[in-house]
Amino acid sequence: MAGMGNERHLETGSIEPPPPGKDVVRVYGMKFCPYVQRLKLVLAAKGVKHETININLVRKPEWYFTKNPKGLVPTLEINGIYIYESDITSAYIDAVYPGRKLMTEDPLKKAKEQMLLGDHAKTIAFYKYACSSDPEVRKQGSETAKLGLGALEKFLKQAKTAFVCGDQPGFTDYMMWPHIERLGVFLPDLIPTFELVKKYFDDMGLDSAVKACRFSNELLIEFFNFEESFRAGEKRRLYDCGEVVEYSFPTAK
Amino acid sequence: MKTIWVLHRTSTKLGDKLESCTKNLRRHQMAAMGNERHLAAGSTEPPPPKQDVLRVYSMKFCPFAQRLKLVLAAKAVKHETVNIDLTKKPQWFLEKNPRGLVPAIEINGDVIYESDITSEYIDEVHPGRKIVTADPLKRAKELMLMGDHGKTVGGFYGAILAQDDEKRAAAFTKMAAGLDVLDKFLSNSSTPFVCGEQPGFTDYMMWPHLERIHIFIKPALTNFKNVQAYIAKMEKDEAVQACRLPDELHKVFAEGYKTKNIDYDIGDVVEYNF
Repeated sequence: MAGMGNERHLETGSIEPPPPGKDVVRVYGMKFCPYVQRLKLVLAAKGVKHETININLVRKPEWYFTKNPKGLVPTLEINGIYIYESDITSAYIDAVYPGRKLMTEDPLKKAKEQMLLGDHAKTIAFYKYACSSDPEVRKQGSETAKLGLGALEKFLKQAKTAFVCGDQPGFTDYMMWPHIERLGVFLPDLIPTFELVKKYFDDMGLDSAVKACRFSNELLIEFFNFEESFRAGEKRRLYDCGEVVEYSFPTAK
Repeated sequence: MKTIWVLHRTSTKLGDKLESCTKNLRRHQMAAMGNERHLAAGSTEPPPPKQDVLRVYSMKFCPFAQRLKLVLAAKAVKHETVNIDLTKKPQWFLEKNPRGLVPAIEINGDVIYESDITSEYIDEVHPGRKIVTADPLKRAKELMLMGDHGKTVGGFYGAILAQDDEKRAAAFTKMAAGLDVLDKFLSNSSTPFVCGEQPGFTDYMMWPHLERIHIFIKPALTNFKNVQAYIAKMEKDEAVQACRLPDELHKVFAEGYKTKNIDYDIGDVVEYNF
């Protein structure tokens, strides 16, 4: 589970960390963020050593905006260069670091995967709806997610491969996994209604990168419930739940 | 693949304006966007394209379709065009492409859609100059720039469709934020174009909306000297010129777009041979 990084989430008022050493890959993340997880999966699949600095996303450190003006995660910092966005950082790591190429090379297959990622936005949408206190909205989230899973089911049926990218998980599998994983936790009855998606879900669960970045359902639910209280107006989040690792440099003033 | 010109009609009212606006542009150079009639609901489904023939489903004035058209022009990729009436989409088109959007391409039974996906596919599959940047870091920087370009695009639509001053001002602010990022990128760049010494993928992805800002809301560019200089350079590019339509035609289309009374078949209209 260390793949996501158990480092403490730095917040407003914290001291800016020193820059990473030469050629060191640094990821600014948030332990439970599905977008950060995309990059973490790619880093794990390629065996890329890196350090993690976690960011408190409701009380962001002022210094973080100098790294990423949008203040979002994930951000990569390597030798003074900053790259952000989950897909851009992931594609960069895949292109630059040795080992298995995760990105599909065949142009037609890649185009089909990219179109699938477009449909996957519906699966992602459940996350927003599922947080609502309104049961009607939550139901809508479930219906929207079904459309996304339906597209994946259709894709797998046509592709006839175990994974979207082929016989092993690839770039697109890792881009889709974090939200599918969460769907499995929060709407557990949905995935089993799709035959191929259910098999895909189980097969992805056996992948070593997926395992490295996976939390227990209990921990995810603990974090998620805290999101509920956030939405109820408490504006606090328990990012540092589960194991917490401290940094080797000073962070608090 | 040339479409047989069965009938060639130019609207009389615009005919004179066309001549005066295009004295330096010959007709065939403008044909790249495709003057084909826009097919609507109730139209007969075209026969599928022949073996290995690339078909582009498009709309003459669509900036997203123009992205693909620019890449096709830059790589001199022969193709046929079927234009779609986007307010009354044919059922046969929705069956091919459930999203119902343009551009889409059809080749040997495969249908691909989305402007960036189709453009990248064309670049990879066709020989000649590679339009997509190969260097991973440069590509990452261009992709981040495209993210900010989203503000320019969103702001542009907001600005031309706004019904009140407050919404228009907010749209201008959003557009300015996007243009500011591009302006800074260009000022830090050692090359004339975003992609390098020649326009590349990202330049072509951004061009259609920059072109329209230049036509419709030029004052929005006032504070962005680098963007203005960049636009002047892009205008000289062959692919850009090939896909250009007269400003007057754009204005007529935009009026229809704003008032939800669109006439797609303005200017030259070419009929299909099916």
